[in-house]
Amino acid sequence: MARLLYRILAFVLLPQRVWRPMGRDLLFTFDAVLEQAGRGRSRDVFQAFLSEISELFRGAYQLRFGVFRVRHTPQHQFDLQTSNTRSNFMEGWIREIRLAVRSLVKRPGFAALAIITLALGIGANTAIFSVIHGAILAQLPFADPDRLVWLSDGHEDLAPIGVDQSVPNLLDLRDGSRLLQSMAIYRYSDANLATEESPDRVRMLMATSEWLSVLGTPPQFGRDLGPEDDVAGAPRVAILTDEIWRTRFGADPNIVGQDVSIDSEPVQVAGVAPPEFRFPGDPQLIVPLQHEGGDFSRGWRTFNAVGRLAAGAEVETLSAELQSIFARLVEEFPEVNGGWSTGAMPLRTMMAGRNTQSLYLLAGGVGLVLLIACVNVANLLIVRAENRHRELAIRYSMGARRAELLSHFLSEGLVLSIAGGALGVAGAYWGVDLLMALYGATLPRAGEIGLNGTVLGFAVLISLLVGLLVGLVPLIRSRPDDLQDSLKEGARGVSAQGSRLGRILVMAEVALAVLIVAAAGLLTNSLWQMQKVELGVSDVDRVLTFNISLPRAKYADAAAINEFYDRLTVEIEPVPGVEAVGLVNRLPLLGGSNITNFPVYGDPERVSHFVSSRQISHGYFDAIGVPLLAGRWLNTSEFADTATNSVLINETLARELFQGESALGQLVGPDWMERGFRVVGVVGDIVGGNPTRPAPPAFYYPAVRAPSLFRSVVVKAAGDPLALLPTLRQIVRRMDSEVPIFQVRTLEEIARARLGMGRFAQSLFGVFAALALLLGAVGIYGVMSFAVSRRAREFGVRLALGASRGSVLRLVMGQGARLTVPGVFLGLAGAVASARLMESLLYEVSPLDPLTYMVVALLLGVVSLGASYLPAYRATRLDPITSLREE
Amino acid sequence: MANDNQLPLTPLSTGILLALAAEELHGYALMKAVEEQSGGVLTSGTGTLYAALTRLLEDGLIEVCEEAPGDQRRGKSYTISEAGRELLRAETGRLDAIVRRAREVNVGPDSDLATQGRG
Repeated sequence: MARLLYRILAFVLLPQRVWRPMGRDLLFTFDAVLEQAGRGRSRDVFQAFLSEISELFRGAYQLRFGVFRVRHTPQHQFDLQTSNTRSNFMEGWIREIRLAVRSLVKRPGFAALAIITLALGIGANTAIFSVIHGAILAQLPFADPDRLVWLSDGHEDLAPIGVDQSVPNLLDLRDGSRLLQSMAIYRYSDANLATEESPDRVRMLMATSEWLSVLGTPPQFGRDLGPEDDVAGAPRVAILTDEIWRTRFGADPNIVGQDVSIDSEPVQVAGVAPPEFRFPGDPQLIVPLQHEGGDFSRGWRTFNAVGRLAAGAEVETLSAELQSIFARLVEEFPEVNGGWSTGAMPLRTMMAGRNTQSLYLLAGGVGLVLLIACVNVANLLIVRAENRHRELAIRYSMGARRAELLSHFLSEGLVLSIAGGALGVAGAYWGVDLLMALYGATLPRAGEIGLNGTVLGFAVLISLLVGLLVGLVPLIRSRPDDLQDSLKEGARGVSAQGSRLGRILVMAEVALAVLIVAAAGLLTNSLWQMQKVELGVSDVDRVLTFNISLPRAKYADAAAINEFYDRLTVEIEPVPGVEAVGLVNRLPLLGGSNITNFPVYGDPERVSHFVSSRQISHGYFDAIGVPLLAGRWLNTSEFADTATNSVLINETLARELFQGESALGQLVGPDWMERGFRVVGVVGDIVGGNPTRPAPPAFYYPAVRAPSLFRSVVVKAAGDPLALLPTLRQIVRRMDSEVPIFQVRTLEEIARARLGMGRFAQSLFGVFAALALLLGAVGIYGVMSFAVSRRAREFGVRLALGASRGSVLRLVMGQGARLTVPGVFLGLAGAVASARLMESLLYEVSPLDPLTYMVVALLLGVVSLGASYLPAYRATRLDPITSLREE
Repeated sequence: MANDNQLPLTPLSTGILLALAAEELHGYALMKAVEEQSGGVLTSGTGTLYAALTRLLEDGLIEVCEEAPGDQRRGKSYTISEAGRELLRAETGRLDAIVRRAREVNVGPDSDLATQGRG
């Protein structure tokens, strides 16, 4: 085994001219060495083996870089000494590293600047990578996760995929498919969970049998949902997630079989999910959907399904199979399924969310920042190399090989990058925490985002790469011929090569900065456009919202529910500071609560495919400030009449169904209704949950028609809405002490949260842009300073010969401009070329938006000029006599 | 390359030449001979040994011997060449001059340190 390893290494490392004639002998000798060592302790054999390996490396090194003759420079005295002892390759490198550290410590300012610059770049990249890894790349925590799929519907008017489905459709798909090994249907819900401490609102999944089994995360205690739980009316059970089992139930191993209070009802705990189980929305309870025998219509699209592929099946073939089954369903039920399609995607894609493109763009942006940081540090190292020119030149003339300089520069680069990397990773810990605190809600799979082993490995890798990069760049400059030339020139002489490289690098830096700043500018513009969009509601900062959920046990019938909520509005209205109060089943701006295929009554041709529906009380529109555009509001008797058929529709729905005609007095609704809804008024549009899509069509009907335990309350305040909160809580508590109010938010917060992902991308890019500008300015400043110091004598001569200070200033600034202007153009060209990448992320802003580009160019121009001003100013202050004297 | 030959050899190469001047040796035996010859100071591993052998071969200072039939398990043997002998003579001559000079100032290998005085 050891022999094999040695043999392979030798084959790889040694040049052909050695391996072919001598390889066999080499192995014989190796055998003899090991055999000899084997006569001692077994540890000696291992030591001998290691030593042989390192000698192999050393020999290979010597063969390639030819160190066989002793020469008289200090560098080679080392070889004379070390070839006496069995020193190995590693020791040589360790010595190089130590030398590099020592020489960097001697120049703390330079080292600190370089390390901080690299830390910024590496840290930012590590943070972003941890987000991308957790959200997109990491393997899902389920068994055999690549075999899991997510089913969804699509509609031509809405979205090709990703729309909710209905239970009957899903059941038909499951029964008809042969490529699905198993499938479970689910929907989201919330519930009140009461324990000894306090009632709490929890996220709940309602699912069909074998939910955990389909995902491949069998319960750690108790059982999964089974077929007996699917039956409507069966005794309800619950499965706790690991997290809530730990936090609310003290990780009690005997919890299975006990009852917990969900919505004031005792529910038996059937099992506890394992810690690996995670799902979007972070549900804390899983309860049965109880779909068998329940009232689930084919048009009620609020459900989704996960499934496991049968052996040998692939997602594409499954999708095709589902589509063909669905085609039959469209024929059978044209009113409900007409115009719809279905399909499947890998579960991983669904869990990554629709924001993958934003995240990858962020990764690109932060990568550019790292490049800029590398350019800066490379420039710093070049300048340093320039300053040690004489020393290096002498070394070369005495016979130093390129290889030694290579290892020297590399060590410096690696030391800087590893130090920067360590600092950067420390910063990334803090940075990721901050990111999660601010934006955790908008990021997919947020629970899996953090600095784990893979992310740290990434940090180490890029640190090494960065070290190689910045270490090797000065070498381009230090070719033997260049150094020889430099000896011939005067003491101050530095070949034009080096400064040219520095200039090229700065130009590249400016171009990269332009790219980043342009992206930031476009995203800012886009966000601004999204914010400008008319929400349709007004005075959002004065509107308070909260949710109430009545326990089923106490409010068993419609009368009790209606009575409670009627009383609630009556109690709240007279409170001082309250301008209006209303109830709704789902808050505005949130999306959801949709009905599909909503036609004009009796005329199925005129139909709106996706309508947002809301059950409201009187006072709702007053509270959120939506105008009446035609007709009249619903009146009090209509709000009290459970049999009323009066409704309000919004402008978009009126336009969709009736085009130019007046909607007033028209009847709308599906055929199966006894009589249609009568439109009595048209109200203004309110935007939906997706900030990049226009306001959806909507219709509103009195809440008494569909009494529900759950309601959202909206209250418009005359002043600060939160000031009313204590009074409101008291009112509710007085009415029923067991009923909590939860999820208190102002309408403004909801409006802001809509733009969550956009804001995330924009603020991060803003930070990148600031970093890029800062680093760019530092880079320009550095290069200009160096250029000025190089030409100090020339400036001195000019000033002595009577040139005005202004002309010297202009000269230097002109030099600076010659650096940055081409860089800006290059950057703009690059931005134009990559415009397509940003298209899908921008709202109402073209990726070629000329205003943004002009601002960016201007900004970069100002920053660059500013950065070159200081060195230019210093040039004008040069005392001609001193600079001439310095020779 | 002409220039190179004026310069001294590394101690390992010198040791190899010296060992091979005495007799033909193959890999492991050569390694051991060099080590013993220098009193344990000059040790090497297989890799560095063969690297040095390669270079010496390329410079024509050593030669490969014919492999005797019974030597299957030991590999090729090497011996010093004429050019190698020449170079070794020059090298030892250089070292000899150093030792002579050292004796003159009482730092030779056999000078008594106690009798060392200052000019």
